[in-house]
This record gives sequence, C-alpha cells and structure tokens, in this order.
Amino acid sequence: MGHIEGYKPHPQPDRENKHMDDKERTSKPSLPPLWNDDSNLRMTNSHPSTDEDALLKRSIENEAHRADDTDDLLSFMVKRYDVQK
Amino acid sequence: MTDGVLAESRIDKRLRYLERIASNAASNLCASLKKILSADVAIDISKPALVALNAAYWQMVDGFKKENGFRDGERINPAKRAAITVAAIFLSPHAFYRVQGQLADHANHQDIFRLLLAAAVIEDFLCLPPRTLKAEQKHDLLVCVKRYLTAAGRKEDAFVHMLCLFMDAMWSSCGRPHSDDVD
Repeated sequence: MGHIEGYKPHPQPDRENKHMDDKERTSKPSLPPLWNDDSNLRMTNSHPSTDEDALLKRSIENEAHRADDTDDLLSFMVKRYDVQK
Repeated sequence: MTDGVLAESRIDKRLRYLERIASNAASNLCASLKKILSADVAIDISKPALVALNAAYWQMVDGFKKENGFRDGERINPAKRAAITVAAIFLSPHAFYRVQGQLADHANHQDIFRLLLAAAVIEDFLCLPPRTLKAEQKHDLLVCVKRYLTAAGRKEDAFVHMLCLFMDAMWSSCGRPHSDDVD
C-alpha cells in the first residue's frame, strides 16, 4: 500500500523543495485543510499530541462511552435498514 | 523517517494502540449484537491484520512526508494523521477478526467494525469526541478521507458511505444531521 496512486501533494510555496516546479507550487491542494488547520500540514505546539503513549491514554479514557456509541450505531443501522426494506 | 531503533519502538507502541481500540471495539460490538440478536457472538481479533494495518499506516506516513517535503523531525499534524489512519483502515484488504455463531453468515459486520475503529481513531487523535464535532469539522474530515480513497480508486466504496452514515447517526443524536455535500 503506502503510496497512494493518483495522490498529489500539497504545494509548499514557503519551503525550499527542489522537486516541485512553479506549476506544482501554485496548483490547488489535493487535500483540504482540516479542523481550521493552517499549519501547512505540520504539527505545532497547539495540536494535541499524537505520541503513542498519549494516544493510548486517551483511548483508555474514551472507552467509557464507546459502548454507547456502538449501540447508537447499530440501532441507527437497524432503523435505516428497516426503512429501506 | 521511521527507520531506526526509536522509530521501531514507536511502531510497536502504535500496534499496541491499534490492538487496544480493536479489542474494545470487538467487545462493544459483541455486546451490542447480543442485544439485537439475542444470541452470543464471539469475535477473535486478527493480530496479523493489525500488524499489516500498522505497516501500511507507516508507509503512508513516510510517503506523505516525502511528497510534501517534510524535514527530519517534522511531524504531520493530528488531523492528517487521523485521515491517513482512517484511510488505511478502509483500504486494508484484511479481515480484522473472525466471528463465530449467527453473525458468521453476514458480511457487513466487518464494515461496521472498521467504522468503530475509524471513530475511535478520530476521537483519540483529535481529542474531539464524535458527538461534539462541529458540522464543518466533520465535513472537512469526510472530504479528506474521501479524497484519499478516491485517489486509491475506491470512490464509490461502501465504506465511505457507511462512514457518512455513521457520522450521521452520531450527529443526529445531538441535533446536527449530516448533509451529503461532501464533494
């Protein structure tokens, strides 16, 4: 898997990048910014940590309500399926 | 960018994280299905499938960094990491678990399981519970995931639609229904 065929990277107008020509630098980004993200794809101090230890800690904390989320999902799908039938 | 002893340690830790959310998702899925089907459902997580998912994720991260001119030490922000992980989950050709009992004859449970993993990843990476996502945040996430999957030739993939439905289900419960204008 790894490389995604057809995927084009963001232009990097503010960075030295010998692999990008002017056309690529001004092309429309293929991936939109997320979560009001203007960090040019990079991690900043304002972002929550994605260190593995932090992720695992957050995941354990979030397990408390995931059973309810799962119930909601299956209930929703059962209702949607019944409507479509 | 992920080579070396330190990176290998991170890879191992990330696998433990994946195993944790997969085990929790399996447990919750069994409990919910038991309520609906009134029958016991046994799910065995496939570790090889999670190992393959983890490897695919790091390959995608390396590819993303290379294509976007990241220097050594620079890290991708959480939103993009979440999107890459969700895309890796949906693009994985492997079944993440084996199931026994009444459910074994139905294929959709594997798709539902991927949705549960995706929701956990989104929440953990972004510190944003799915129930409290704002409309524009959900829209941005779906756009990003959809573009990844489209680039991989899976534009009409059922997982994308199911992800929208899943988000719709959770958002409907808090009064923010999903619109289908992802494109």
